[in-house]
Amino acid sequence: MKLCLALALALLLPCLAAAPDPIHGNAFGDSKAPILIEVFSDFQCPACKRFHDEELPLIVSDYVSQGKAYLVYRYFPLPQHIYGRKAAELVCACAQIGKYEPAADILFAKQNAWSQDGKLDETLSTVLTPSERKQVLDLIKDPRVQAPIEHDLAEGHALPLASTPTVLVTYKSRQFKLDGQGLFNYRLVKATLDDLLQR
Amino acid sequence: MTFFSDRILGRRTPAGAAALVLRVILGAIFVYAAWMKLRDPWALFAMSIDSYQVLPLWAVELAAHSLPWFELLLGVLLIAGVWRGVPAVAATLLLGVFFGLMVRAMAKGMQIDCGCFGPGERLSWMTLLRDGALLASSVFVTAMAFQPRRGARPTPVE
Repeated sequence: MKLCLALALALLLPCLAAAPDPIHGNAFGDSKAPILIEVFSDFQCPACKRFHDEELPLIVSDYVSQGKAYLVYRYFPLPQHIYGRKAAELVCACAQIGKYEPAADILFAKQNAWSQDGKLDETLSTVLTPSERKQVLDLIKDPRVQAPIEHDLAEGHALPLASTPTVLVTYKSRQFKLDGQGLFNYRLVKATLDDLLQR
Repeated sequence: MTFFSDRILGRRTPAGAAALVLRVILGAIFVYAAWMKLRDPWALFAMSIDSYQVLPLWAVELAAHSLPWFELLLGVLLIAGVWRGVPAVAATLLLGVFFGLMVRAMAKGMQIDCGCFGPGERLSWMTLLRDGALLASSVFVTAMAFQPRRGARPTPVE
């Protein structure tokens, strides 16, 4: 009996220790898709803007929309970007009310402007109604917004992550980290994903 | 160990025995490097090559497809000890190219994957040191491969 209890406890402990992944509004596609794609990105990083504008739409249309991949956006504000954390908090708050995509799109589109003047709130207000804007501002310091950012930062540091954007591809329990120049060569990204799907 | 020391190393000079051991180690490392690349999607290795920014895309793809198989062949030939001079020279040239590219990338401050044993290993002073040690070993193995064997008949002089 004692042995059974000890065994049950030993099996249960890792489950209790692992913090739940607080994904809300920042994941797209079928969660049961064979490939998991996690994008670690910072809204103030120019390379992340390029990835968001050029590569991500192709990944979404070729894999996420086709049910081949599940896409999760990971908040990874870099310390050298003074508005990076605030941008992540605002977008995460928007994600809580189902407005992740318009919020991320407008922040990346107007990155040059708000990176200079810090007018994030004003930039976001163009895609939010007044009541949504109030909801977002009320949510910023809420644990529902802070917890996902802290979770994603911890996960990124644990990888470890050298730069943004970094894409973590998980397929059959194996993880592949894509970063650097190669990430902007969609031909190679596509070849990687196609190769995995054929295995 | 007695068999190994008596039958394999016994009739060799200390330098010859060292060359034999280094040749087999180099061969095993090449086989391991090839296997690590071949088990993953080829495009991941292509991304590592591309990050050095020295080759056009068509050459990157060609290298990503062919280099792991070439490393595998080289490793097997080094371990088997056939055509000793040829694989030793090829390994030295290949390691020389790798070392040169790594030094160039480090000098340029590029924060990229080494690509040495497949994806996921950052280029660092440690990887540079390791590749330098492999290159030095390969140069030694190559030099020893062209030494006349002990007991070989001298060429008769008329």
